[in-house]
Order: sequence, then structure tokens, then C-alpha cells
Amino acid sequence: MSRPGGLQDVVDAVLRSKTGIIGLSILIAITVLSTLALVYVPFDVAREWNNPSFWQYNPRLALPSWVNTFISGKFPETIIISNDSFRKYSYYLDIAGLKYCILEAEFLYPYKDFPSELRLSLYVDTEGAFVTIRWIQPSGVDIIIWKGSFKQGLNTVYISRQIDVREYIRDSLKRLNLTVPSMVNPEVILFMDNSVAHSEFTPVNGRYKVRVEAVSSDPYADIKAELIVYGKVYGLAGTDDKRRDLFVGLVWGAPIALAFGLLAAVATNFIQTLVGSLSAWYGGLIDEVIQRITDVYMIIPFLPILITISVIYRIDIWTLLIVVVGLSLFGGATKTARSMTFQIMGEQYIEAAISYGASRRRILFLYILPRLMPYTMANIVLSVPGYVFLEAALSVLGLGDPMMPTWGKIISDAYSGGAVVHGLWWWILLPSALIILTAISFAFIGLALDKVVNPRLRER
Amino acid sequence: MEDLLKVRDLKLYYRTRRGIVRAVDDVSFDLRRGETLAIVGESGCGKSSTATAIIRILPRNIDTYEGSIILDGVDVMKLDDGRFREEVAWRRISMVFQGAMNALNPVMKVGFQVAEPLMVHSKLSRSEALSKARELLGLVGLPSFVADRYPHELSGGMKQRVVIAMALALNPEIVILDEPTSALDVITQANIVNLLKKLKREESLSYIFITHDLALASELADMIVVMYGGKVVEYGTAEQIYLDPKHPYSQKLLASIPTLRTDKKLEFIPGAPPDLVSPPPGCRFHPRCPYAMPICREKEPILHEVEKNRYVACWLYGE
Repeated sequence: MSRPGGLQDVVDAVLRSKTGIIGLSILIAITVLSTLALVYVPFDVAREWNNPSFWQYNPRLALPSWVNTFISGKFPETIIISNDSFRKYSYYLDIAGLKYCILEAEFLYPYKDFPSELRLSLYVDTEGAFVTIRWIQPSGVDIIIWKGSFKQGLNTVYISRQIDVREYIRDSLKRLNLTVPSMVNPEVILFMDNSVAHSEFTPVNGRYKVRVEAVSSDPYADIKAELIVYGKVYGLAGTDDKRRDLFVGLVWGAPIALAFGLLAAVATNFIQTLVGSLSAWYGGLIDEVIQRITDVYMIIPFLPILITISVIYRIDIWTLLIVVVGLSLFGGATKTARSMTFQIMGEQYIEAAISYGASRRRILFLYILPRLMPYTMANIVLSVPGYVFLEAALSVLGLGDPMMPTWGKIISDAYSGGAVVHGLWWWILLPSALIILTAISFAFIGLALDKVVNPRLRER
Repeated sequence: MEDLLKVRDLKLYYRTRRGIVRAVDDVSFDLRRGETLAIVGESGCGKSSTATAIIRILPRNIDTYEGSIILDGVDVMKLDDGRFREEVAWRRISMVFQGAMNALNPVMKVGFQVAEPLMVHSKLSRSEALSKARELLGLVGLPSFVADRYPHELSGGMKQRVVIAMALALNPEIVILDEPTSALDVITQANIVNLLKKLKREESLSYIFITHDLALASELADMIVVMYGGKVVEYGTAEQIYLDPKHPYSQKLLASIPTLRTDKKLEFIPGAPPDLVSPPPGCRFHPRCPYAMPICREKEPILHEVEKNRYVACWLYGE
């Protein structure tokens, strides 16, 4: 009971062929992924994506954590020791008029590789305090990381990056008669056995202790601490150089890419088909004008114009969509729809409709356009990957939406972040794989639809 | 019986790159109420063009379109296109198109297609039109579930019935049947012809029946117009023409009908129908005519009455 070339036929064709089913399942997987986006990331990604403090608890340039299932020595996960995990002792020494606050935390380090970074934040709730930070290894070696006075408010010790931290550590090791490796980062020294000289560095597993001792003249002084031991793996897709969770970017890129590709494909193809059939159906001057405009449109260099507009106006992705549609009002489908309309116009049911007095508009919308639909449908499906690629290509050129995390934008960031040089494969491969998968799924569905549209391939 | 339709000096010329095609050239005939007029002739002799000229479905490349078509005493040629479509086309004269296979829109349900003329013309609502369409399908002998089918789900004969139902939608007086059965097998052909006879009786229709099949025409026709090269060469009652064809072309045409049982050698007419861009001078049939005389090459014969209600355009029958 289905009409030929109708929606039912299209669905049947897709479901009946292997390529159609493969394409559809990839597409469904991507759609599920993008709906998961709402569950996994319930915040305003567009706003937070470019906000560095939002991502501060993530390691930089971390591998995806599923990498650990393929290797024997596991990469460390990030360990966050919040203020609640610190045991706190404080007492006021009347004689000296000093308040002592001691925070102590212990954590287990089971990994076969060093962490990527260490950071300690202290919130000092008094005029000022003199603080000593100690690092106690499982063997009992007590290293002073930092010593000095802190002002009121939030103070952060970037243990891995601060030069003075290295000095303090070196002094401590000398005092304890331990070997002092030159040019080695704190996150390595603090986790290795320093009693002998090493040619290769391996972390010591066990329970580590951090002790923060603060002295202040204010009897009501208080202090809060937070230690972050950044790991080397994170999430399902790793992180980039701004500590952003790439999975969030990829998951949000999916609906953006699909919406952009589909909207652009649907809009351009419908408009072009309509214009083409109008051209043929009304004929005469209208035909002539539309055809000449189409010729001009088809000669206009699409990409250079788009790049020019993007460079001048820094447009966001939806404006880009409108520009793309605007530049494709006339095109190949206009020509094809026109010639197909000429063919349909010769059919007798059109003559019959004219003779029983159906208006020209009625004939166009009720008789001619439905005949063009299967062709338009297949065209839409086949042109979606092109528009997904277009958006990605513009982003890679640095001309895409500067705010939205699109797949192309992530690749562009990876390129400028030196991912190729440093072998940060996940940063480039994962978004590329998603773009390719999307393109393949539409290509496969298009292949299945071809059987509806192209009578030579029709199997029945 | 009164004349329902009088066609006088109808001309329809097309303009092509090669020149002007005189597809219908001074065609005249009468159709009486309740009768069937058959227009017969070879392919390309202007039969279908005559039909489209009467119902005014004209291509864009029209050069000349003139003459008079008098329907019940009113010259419908004088109506403008809008009024013609509103008052005459489909309401009074409708048409069953050649080749039912292509006469239906493949992406529309059959019921909806039959209902279309009703919706466009009578301004019936969709549901009223659809229920009327089911009635019409019943009238042509189709079960009502056919209304919910698409054309590709129907057989050739069923499609032809649907097309006939469409033509009957607005209760016309005249139905033009343009080779309604040429794509069908003989059994289906016979069924359709019987249906046409029944409808003619019950709905008091008059037919203009266009065919190249003289045997089929004899089944339905009361009057016969024989056309050749865009012109009427002979016009008379079916009886006169079948029993005693006057024009050599009519004679040849009749001789080319195969008959059962008799072991007759089938005749054919040597040569091909004339090129209507530059028809031969004089009588258009003379290059193929066995009786061609000098005058045939020079002067065109005029259609004149040789007996009562019997017209022939041939120099053999004098002036």
C-alpha cells in the first residue's frame, strides 16, 4: 500500500539493504551520543568551554582513560584531596601569642607512572600566616616543599612549576644526605626513592602524607587546603592543553555537526528543487531569469567567498549556516529539478489536471513536487557529509565559530596546540573519526536510497 | 436527433523548428446527442490533435488555432481560457487519455485522483469528493477499496476504468475517448468496450472515439470520420463506410483489417503518411493512391456530399 518513492519506500529501502542498516546504526549511535550529551554535561557548554577555571581540576593533555586497559603499567588517574580529607589540629600558644594550624592528609599512590602535575591551594582566613608545607614519602623521608608567608585569601602553590619549590626540595634532600637529581621535576622527585642514584625513574607506591603547618599571630586564624595530584589519563576522550574534557567537546560537537549538516542540506536542496521546478513550470521569462542566475551562482567560487565573509565578520555557526544557504539558493539541483519537471510536465495526468481546471500552483505542489521528492531526499542525504566537512574545514582554517566546541574547532585547536608534533593522537584522531563516521553513515544511507531513486538499480 | 456538437473548419497548427505543422487542417464534423463519432486514421494523421483542439489542451508552440466548435448552439471557441475551463472543460466535454498507464499520477492514491476534478471544480470538500469518487469507481465496476490504492497496484484494465471514472466525475455530455484501449489485451479491451456501451446508455453520453483500430470502431461508432494528413477524407455513417468505402484511403484501411477464417491476403498502403510540415500539393493522399490522376497532384479535392450525410474528398467522385 505504499506509494512509490514515498516515505515508506525510502524507509524500506534503507532497512532492506546492508549498507542502509550500517549507515542507519552509525547515525543512531551518533544521535544517542549527542542525546547523552545532555545527561553527561548538564551545563552550558558554550559558555564554560572557554572558561579556564571551569576545567582546573582536570589534568593537561591527558590520554583517554581506556588506554589503561591496553597497557600493563597503568597511567595515574587524578587524585583530588579536598579540605575535608585533611585532618586538622590547631592550638593557641599563649606564651608566644601564636596560633598553630596543622593540616595533614594521607593518600595511596598505586600507579606505575608519575603524576603529570601537583598543585596545592591554601585558603588563609587571617591577616597573614607563615606556612611550611611538608611532603612525607612512604619510607618516612620528610621533604619541605615550600616555606614562607601567605597573605589573606586564596594562595596556590604550583608545585610542579614554581622555581622556588624546586629550591626548597633540593635543600631538604641535601640536608637529609639524599641524592639530588639535577633537572628533575618536583612531581618526579617527590614520588621516587631518593636514597640511591637512579638511571631510570619509577614511582614508589604506598601512602604519602602532606602536612601543612601554619603559624599566625591571630588567635582566630584558620586555614583550608586542597591538593591536586594530576594524573595522566582522563575521561573517555582525554583532555587538551587547556585541561578541557574532550569528550564534552566531542559529544556537543555531534548535535552541532548533525544540525548544521542536515539543516544546510535540507534547506539548500528544497530551495533548489523548488526553484528548478518553478523555472520549468512557469517557463518563459521566469525560466530564462532563473537559469541565468543559476549559471552565475554555479560559477561563483563558493569557498573563497565563504572564507572572505568569515574572515571579515567572524560569524557564529548559525550565521554561517544562513550564509551557506544563501550562497546555494541556485545550483546543480535547480538544473536537475528543471529537467525532471519538463519530463513530468509531458505526462498525461498533468494535461488532465490542466483540462479540468486545476490551478498552476495546485499542479506544481500537488503533482510535480511530490514526484521530485525521492530524488530530493536522496540528494539531501548525500549532501549532508559535504556540509559537515565544510564546517570542519572552515574551523580548521580558524574561520569557524570561535565559541562553540565543534569537531572542526577541536581539530583546529589540536593543530595550533602542536598535537601533531607531540604525538597527542587522541586530540586529533577522535574528532576526525567522528567526522568520518558521520560522513560514512550518510554515504551508506544514500547508497541505499539510490535504489529508490535510480530505477536501474531497483531490484523489484 | 439534434446536433450536440458541430465542429467547423477547425485548424490547429504547431510551430516547430522545421516549420509549421498543419496537424488539424479544416476539420468539420457533427456529433449528435447520444451517438458515437469515431475518428479513424493512421498514426500522425491528426486524430489526437483534433481531440486536444476540442478540449483545448494546447501545447505552447501553437501557431494557429481557429475554427468554430459549437456546443448546443454556443460557439465555445469564443470563450476565453478561464471561462472555457470553468464552464466547458470536464463539465460538458471530458476526455479519457491515451494510454492509461501514464494517465495516472503515480504518487497519488486513486480515489484522490478521481476526486481531484470534483474538488477543483465543484468546490466539494475533501471527504465529500472522496465519497463521490468511490461512487464513480463503483459506476465503472471497481470495488471501493481501489480508492485507497496507488496506480502501480492496479492492472491495466483497472487503471483504464479509473481514468474513465475521472472523465465522468462532473457528469459531462461528451466524452472524448483517445485510444482508450490501445494498451490493453483483447479480453480487457472487450470488457472496457462493454463498459463504455453501458455507460453511454445509462449516463446518456455522447462519445468522440479516437482510434486506429477500425474493428473496434465498428463496435461503438454510429458515425465515422476518416482522417488523413490532418484532413477529413471521408465522413459518413458507420454502415456506409464499412460496407461501401468511397475514398481510396478508406478502402485500403478497411482492406488491411485481418479477418478470422477467410484466407485473405492482407493489404497495406505503400509509403508513409505525409509530412505535415510540407504536405504534398493537391490531394495529400495522391503519392500513395492507386487511382491517382493528374488533377490530384494539382488541386486539392474538397469535402462534398456524395450521398445524403455522406461526404468524400476525392476527385474520383467528381466535383
